[in-house]
Amino acid sequence: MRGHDWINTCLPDELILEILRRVDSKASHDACSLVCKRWLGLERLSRSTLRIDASGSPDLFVKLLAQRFVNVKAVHIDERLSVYVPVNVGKRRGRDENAMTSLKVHYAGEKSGSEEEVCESFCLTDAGLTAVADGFSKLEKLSLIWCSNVTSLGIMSLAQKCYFLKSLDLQGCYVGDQGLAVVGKCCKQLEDLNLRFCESLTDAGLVDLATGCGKSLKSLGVAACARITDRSLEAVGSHCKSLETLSLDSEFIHNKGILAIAQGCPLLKVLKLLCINVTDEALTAVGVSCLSLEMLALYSFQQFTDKGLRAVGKGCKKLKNLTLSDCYFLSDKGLEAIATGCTELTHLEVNGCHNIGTIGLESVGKYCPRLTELALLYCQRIGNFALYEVGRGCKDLQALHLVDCSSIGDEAICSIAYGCRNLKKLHIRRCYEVGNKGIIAVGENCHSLTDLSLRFCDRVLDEALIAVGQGCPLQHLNVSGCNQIGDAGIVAIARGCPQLSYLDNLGDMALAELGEGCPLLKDIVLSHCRQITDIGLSHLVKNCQMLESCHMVYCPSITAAGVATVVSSCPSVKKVLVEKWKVSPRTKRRAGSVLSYLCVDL
Amino acid sequence: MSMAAVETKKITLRTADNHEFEVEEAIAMEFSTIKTFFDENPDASEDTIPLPNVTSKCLSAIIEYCKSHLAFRARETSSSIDEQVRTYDEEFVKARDNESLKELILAANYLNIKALLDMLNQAVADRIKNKSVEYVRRFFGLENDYTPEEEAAIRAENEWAFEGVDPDDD
Repeated sequence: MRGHDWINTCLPDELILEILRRVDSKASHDACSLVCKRWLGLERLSRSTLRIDASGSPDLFVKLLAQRFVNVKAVHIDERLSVYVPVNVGKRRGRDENAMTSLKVHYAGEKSGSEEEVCESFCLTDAGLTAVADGFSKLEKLSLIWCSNVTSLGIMSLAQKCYFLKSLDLQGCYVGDQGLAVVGKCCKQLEDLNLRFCESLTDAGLVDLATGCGKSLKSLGVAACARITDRSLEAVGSHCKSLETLSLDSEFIHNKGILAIAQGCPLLKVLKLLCINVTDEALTAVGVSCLSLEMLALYSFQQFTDKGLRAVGKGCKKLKNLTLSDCYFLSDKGLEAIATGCTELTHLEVNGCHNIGTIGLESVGKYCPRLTELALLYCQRIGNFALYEVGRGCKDLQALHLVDCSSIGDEAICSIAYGCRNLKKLHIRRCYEVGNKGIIAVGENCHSLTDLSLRFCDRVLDEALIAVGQGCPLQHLNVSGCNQIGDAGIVAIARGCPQLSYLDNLGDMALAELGEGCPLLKDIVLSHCRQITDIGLSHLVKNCQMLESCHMVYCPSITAAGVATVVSSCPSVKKVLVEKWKVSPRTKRRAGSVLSYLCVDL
Repeated sequence: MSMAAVETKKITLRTADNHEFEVEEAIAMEFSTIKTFFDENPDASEDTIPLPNVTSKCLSAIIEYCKSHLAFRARETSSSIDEQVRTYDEEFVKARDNESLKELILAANYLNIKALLDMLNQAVADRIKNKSVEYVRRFFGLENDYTPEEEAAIRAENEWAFEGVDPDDD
C-alpha cells in the first residue's frame, strides 16, 4: 500500500498533536485513541476538556483521568445529568464490562475503602475537588454544576493549587464565604465567575473576592443569593474596573448597588437584570455612565418606566441587543426612545409587555435598519402595521419569532416576506390569524429560509407548504399542531428540500417520501402522529442513515417491531424516545444507551 | 542599470525531483524556513536553494496558495474578502486526495508556513471527524498494534468521560 506507515515514521509528534487538537468530537477522539499505541499517547495529550456527570463516582474518575489526560485545561462536572453507563446492570457479560468493573474494583482496593463505599458516592466531594486541583495543574476553566457535596474546603484547596484559573462556575453549589475569599487571594487571573444559586454566600465572601481578584474579573453572575446585598455591588464597582458582563437576579439589590456598578464599571457591555426593587434611578445611571453597553435585558415585573428607557436610548449608543420581558410599565414611547437613540440595534425581544403596541414596533422598523433578529412573544397589542414598517426598514432581518400574537396575521407576514428577502428563520406559534396567504408569500420570496416552524397555526394548509418546498432550501421544519396540513404538504417539502435534517408531524406515505428525498435527516419527531405505522418507519430508516434522534411517543400504531427496526437500522442513532412497554428485551440489550422512556403515567 | 521597470527580485528553488522554480521574493519570504536562511545569509540571495524534502507537485501548489493569500491580504479587509478566503481554502483542500494532503502537510511543515499548515491540519481533522478507527488507520496507512484485550480495555476506558451535553445557559 502506498504510503504504508509512512506517516507514522515521517510525521512528527507535534504535527499529529496539532491534527488531534483540531478533532473536536468525543467519538472522533475515541477513534483516534484506538488507531495504534503511539496515537493513544498523543491523543491523551491532546485532550483539553473533560466532562464528568453524575452516574459514576466523580471522585474516582477524577483521579484516573488526571493520570491519563495531563494537558486538560477545562473540567465540567455536572451533577444534574446522568449518562447511561453500561455496567453494573443485570447479568450482562462481555469483555468491556469486565475490563471496566475490574479496573474500578482494582482502584477501590488500592484505596483501602470497601467497594461498596466507593460505588455509592455519585457526588463529587471535597476530596474529589482536591484531586482535580492536584491532577490538573494547568486548569483554566472549571464548572461545578449543582455539586451539592462540595464546600468551601474543597474550593480553598482548589484555589491554592490552580493559579491559572480563568473561569469558575459554581452554580448550585453550597459554597461559603471562606472559599470565595481564598479564590480572591490566589486566583489573580480569574475572569469569569458564576455564583447563581450559591445560597450560602454573603457579602463578606463577595467583597473579599472583589478586593482580591477584582482587577481581572470580566464577568459575574449572581442569582438567588439572599445574603448578597448592595454592599457587595459597591465592592465590585470599586475593584472590578474591567467588568464587562453582569447578570443579577435578586430582590435584595436596590438602586444603590446598581448605581455603584454603573459608575464604577465603565467597560460594561452586557447587563441582565431581574431585580424587582430597582427603579428608574438605576436605569438612568446606566444610560448616563455605561456608554459601552451592547446588551441589555430587563426581566419580569420590574418597576422600570419609559423614563429609564429614554435615558438608555440617549446614552447607550452602542446598544445592539435588547430584551424586555414582562415589563408592564414600558410603553410605545419607551421603545421609540430606544429605536431613535440606538440605531445600531440588531436583536430585539419583546415578551409580555402589554403596554407596548404597534407604534413602538413601527419606530423600530423606521430607525433600526440593522435589525437581524426580532422576537415578539405574547404581544396581543402589536398589529399588522408594525411588521409592515419592519418589512420596509429592516432589510437585513434574518430571524423572526412570533408567539401568541393574536393581532398579527397574513398581511404582516406578507410584508415581511416582500421586504426581508434574507430571512433565514421563521418561527410562528399560536398566531391564529396567520394562514396560507402569508406563508405562500414566504415561499415565493424568501429564498434563504432554512428554518421554519409553524406550530398551532390552524389556518395553514398544504398549499403553503408546497410553496415553501419550491422556494426555500429548508433544513428544519416543524408543523406540529397544524391540523390541516397533511401528507401532500410534507411530500412537497420532502421533494423540494433535500437538505432537510429536522422534521415533525407526518403519515406513512410522507415518511416513505421523506426517506427518499431527505437522506440527510438527523432528527425526527413523530410523536402524536396517529397515522404512522411500522411500515412507514421501515421506509424511513432504509434511506435516512444519518438519523440521530427519533421521538415517537403517543403513536398508537407503532409497535415493538418498529422500534427495533429504527434501533437496528440507524448506525448513528443517539436517542430514541418511546414508551417503555414498546421496547422488547432484545432491543433493550442491543441499544440500551440510546433509549429514553416517556416517564409520565397518565 | 536599466531604467525600465525593475521586476521584483526572484529566488530560485530546486525541488527533490530536480525541478527549478523561480519565485518572487515576497512569496519566498512566506516560507519561514527560507526567510530565516536569508536573514542569516544575506549574500546568498543569488544561489539556488535546494529543497530535498519537497516535490515539484507540492511546491507548485504551495506557491499558488501563497500567491493567492498575498493577493487577498493586499486588499482591504472586509467580510466579503474573508468569505472569499474561506472559499479559496475550501476549494484548495477539496481538490486534493488524502495522499497529496499528507505530502502538503509535510512540505508546509518543512518550509514552516504557519497559516497553510494550520489550514491543512484542520482539513485533515475534518476528514477523519466522525469516522471509524479503521478509516483513520487506512487514511494514514497505519497498522493496529493492539492486542484484542488491550483494544477492549481502551474502549471501556473511553466510556468514562462523557461528552456532548453542554450545561444549559442560565
